[in-house]
Amino acid sequence: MAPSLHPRSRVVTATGVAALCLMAVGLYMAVTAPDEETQGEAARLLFVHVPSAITAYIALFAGLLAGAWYLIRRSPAADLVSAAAIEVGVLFTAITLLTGMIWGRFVWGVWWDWGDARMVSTAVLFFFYLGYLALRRSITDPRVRAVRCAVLGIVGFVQVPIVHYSVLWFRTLHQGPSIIRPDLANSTMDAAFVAPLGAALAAFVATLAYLVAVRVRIARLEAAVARSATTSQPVGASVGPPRLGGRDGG
Amino acid sequence: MTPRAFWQQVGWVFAKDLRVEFRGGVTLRMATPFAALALLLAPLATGTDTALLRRIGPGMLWLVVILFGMTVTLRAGARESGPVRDLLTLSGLDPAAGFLGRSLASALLLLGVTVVLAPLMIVLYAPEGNPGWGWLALLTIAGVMALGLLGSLVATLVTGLRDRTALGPLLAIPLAVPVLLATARGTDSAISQRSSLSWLLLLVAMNLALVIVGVLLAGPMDETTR
Repeated sequence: MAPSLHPRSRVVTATGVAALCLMAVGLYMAVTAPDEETQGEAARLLFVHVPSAITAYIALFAGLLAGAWYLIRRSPAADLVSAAAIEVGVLFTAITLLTGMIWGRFVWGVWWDWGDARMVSTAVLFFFYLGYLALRRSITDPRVRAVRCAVLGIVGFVQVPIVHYSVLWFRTLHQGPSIIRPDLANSTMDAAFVAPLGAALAAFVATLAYLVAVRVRIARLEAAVARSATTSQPVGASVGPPRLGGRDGG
Repeated sequence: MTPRAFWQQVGWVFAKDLRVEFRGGVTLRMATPFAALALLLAPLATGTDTALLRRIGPGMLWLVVILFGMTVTLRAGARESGPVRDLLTLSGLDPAAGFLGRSLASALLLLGVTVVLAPLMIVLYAPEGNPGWGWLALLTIAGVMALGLLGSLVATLVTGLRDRTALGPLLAIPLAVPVLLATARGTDSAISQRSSLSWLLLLVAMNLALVIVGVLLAGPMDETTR
């Protein structure tokens, strides 16, 4: 009989399957969406670029909340969630930058434009969070690492609203916010594009949840390995000395 | 602790850091000449077109102050690791007072660096205009204060780490981008006799945010340096 999965593992697996299904639906809707009036086929990149940007914001905000929770309650689990969320947030920020550059090449004619405040501020955000990951790797003491990274996660998040509102605060090539608007008005996007964008966003958020859960599980295993190295206890199920054949050695 | 005792502690840390700096003189003897050299070499990289240099001069000054100033503030923070930090803790120093004292001392050192480099920038880059000195003074003070606070915060985060010389600037400089924008653009506006109020307000907001975060989180951060 196959061993049954731990309930938590089942939830993680179900999240992964849901993310995969949503990704397939999002991809189908993005491919079958009508052509955009001025951007043509390049507009389809927005179904990756915009959801990845929003997902990165969500991930970094989750990292901030979990970090703050760690500082309040000193819960090691909160530190693991914060680290995992920020790590995945960096991945989505990289996707945002790359897809933005590819889109810019097609629509603006250049890979990089210094006049685009959001592009530049996103790159700065990306490098800052690379620094966060480097800081995490540099500290070996789990308690010190958790406190310092929680503080950095809180301080660094201030850049996220700067990235988002940079298109309003500075003269820029990038268009203004069309979904999360400061006047809380409805989206300015045509309805035909809202549905595929919503599907893609759901797929990205589900992927974020899955990746964070998997990363937390890996971090727990890494912590167990680190503990075993210091206490000389074997990891997981007890491992006996090598024996030939069955239990009786025969 | 009474507010008077708190500010007294801020003053002690401020005086201690300045005394260490005046005795060692690293900012004056090394960081400032190195920054001046960067101002001198930059035109060789960008081209010596006079019109271009006039335009980029104020921005270059602030870029150099931020890049080299960060090494000054991070170095000041690194001094207080291990036994020094233990001694300060045993003497009953409030971590928030320590943070503010270190930040103020760093800001004063950065102000010194800026005051030395500004005339050099004017000579080398010859920016045009009739500057509004009041705006320039306010922008400079608010800018160096923000850099001092930021540097002290990041210095605490990297205290005791082997990679701190590389890691400190990597963490601090992206966070200093609003300071670079506000000081450089604000200086441009002041030179063109336009109001720099919006840039000054950005710096004031950043200073306030850094003071609040630094004071609130000084305790937990201080625990990790012992």
